Amino acid sequence: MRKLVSAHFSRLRKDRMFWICMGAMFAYAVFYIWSGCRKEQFLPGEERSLSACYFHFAIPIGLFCALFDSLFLGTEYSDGTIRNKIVAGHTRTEIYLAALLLTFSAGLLLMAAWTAGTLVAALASGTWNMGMGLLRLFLYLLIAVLEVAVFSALFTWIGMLSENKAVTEMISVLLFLALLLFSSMLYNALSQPETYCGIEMTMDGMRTSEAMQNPRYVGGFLRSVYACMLDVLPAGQGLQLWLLEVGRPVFMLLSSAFITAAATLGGMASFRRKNIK
Amino acid sequence: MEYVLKTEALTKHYKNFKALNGLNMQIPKGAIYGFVGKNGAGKTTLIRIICGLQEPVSGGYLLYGRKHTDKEIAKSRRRMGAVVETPAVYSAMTAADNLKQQYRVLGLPSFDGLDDILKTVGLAGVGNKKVKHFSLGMRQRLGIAVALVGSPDFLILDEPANGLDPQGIVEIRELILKLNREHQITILISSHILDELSRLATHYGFIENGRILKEISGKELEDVLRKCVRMEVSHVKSLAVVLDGMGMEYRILSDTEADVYANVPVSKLTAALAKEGCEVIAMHEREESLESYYISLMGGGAHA
Repeated sequence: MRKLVSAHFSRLRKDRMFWICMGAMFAYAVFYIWSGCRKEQFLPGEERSLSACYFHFAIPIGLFCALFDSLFLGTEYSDGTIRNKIVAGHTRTEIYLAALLLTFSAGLLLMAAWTAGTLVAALASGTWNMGMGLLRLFLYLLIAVLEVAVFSALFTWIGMLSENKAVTEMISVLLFLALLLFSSMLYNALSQPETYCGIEMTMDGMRTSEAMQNPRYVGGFLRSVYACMLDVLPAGQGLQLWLLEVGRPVFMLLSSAFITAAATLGGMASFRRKNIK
Repeated sequence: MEYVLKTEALTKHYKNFKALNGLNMQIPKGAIYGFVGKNGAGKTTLIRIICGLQEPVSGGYLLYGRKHTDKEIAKSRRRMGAVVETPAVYSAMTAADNLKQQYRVLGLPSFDGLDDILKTVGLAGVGNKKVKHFSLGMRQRLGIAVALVGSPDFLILDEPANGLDPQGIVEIRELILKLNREHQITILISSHILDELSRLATHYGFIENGRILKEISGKELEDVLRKCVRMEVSHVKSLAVVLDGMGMEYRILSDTEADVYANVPVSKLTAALAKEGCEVIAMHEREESLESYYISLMGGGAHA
């Protein structure tokens, strides 16, 4: 497998799409963090910190992974080079795991590009305070790393089974968008207040009405299910990281590890049975 | 005789379609094995199975004496190179970078021999040109170059002349002969261009509906292909009467043409024909081609 990984990385170094994604991630970070820090300058009494903007990458990283992974792995099929690896005597398990390692590494490098962009923006805005303790920062980064692992496992699965590059690209991006949309819906549902107060106009002026039950509030068992799904889904984790609202970090880490392992085992089993043209 | 590849009742289905139906074939070491069959006969399916791209439903094959179910089959595969259907090369890379990729895939410690391979396939001077700007012939040769990395002693080429211009076909032919003669590489080559194949192959396998109809060596085929004299005359009926009288085997082609399968005593025959009032317009010695042999083997209705 070491040989395949070496071949993948040498290809990665020359891959134009990879460098475009890296550049886009870097530029996005510089712009986003810099404008975020500037905005905070106008909030009196608030200490400027990077954490409020830094973890925003946890949202777009999934899209970048979908784009890059599908193009990189799709090329193996469209150019037919996956055949060279099989004919050369590599097992399907080796080929699959090498592809996963590559996509995961690329995801981490995209994270590194964001971090580099953050440093440049911090330098430009003069904001060096991270705004969170080292342990919390480490925990959040670990959740982000495993979020990348889940995305990589899912997109590798798609990329290794679909032989059509355009279809791979479309399915991967649609999957990411579906996960993001679903997670946003879950988050919105969970953010609803249990009760709300209206404003009434009376002869004496305006006054708040009595608290009323919010019909859109999700409670009971369903609330637990929604919260659990938001913690499990990679896009949901990204959303919580961005908003710095991570409630159950250990559960998030374990669920990510489980999904990565399950997707990899499922993908390898399907890939082993696949008829390659 | 030592065989590089032996298949035993190899079977492969795609849903209800039987692509291979108990196929048996043997490729002797050092041969150029011409694999002939019409579209959908099972040529590419067999090649895909041998390359490990697909698994057979039943039956099996031995590659360098190792069964395909053997855990060590990868070791046998490392001794082969293949170009299946289209050349497997990265279009965004140069020829040299493509070869370097294959060196890495094989885990070779250095890029020694890379220039020699490019030279062998006639791509030594392409420099930094990306593969996407290559002609079809150049891509085909690069595909073979990639297959040659690691010095394989068994090369599988699936339709290598497909889509090439006459010059490209000649170049590929010369390359294949060179690889076989100078590097002693056993070659399995599938092709629709029977005339081209007949200039290369030392052994033939004819496949139809997923089964091998006939395996024959080039020498045996040469003996089987019959020589004849094609005669053009003014009245073919008179020719038939004379040939019947002389006890010669023949085949009428048209009102004026017939093939005579015998050593024709020219003066005796022309004198007999003159007596019948039949004029001889032309006579040519002909040899039955691989194509006509293939067509007769397939029952006359099929075409490669």
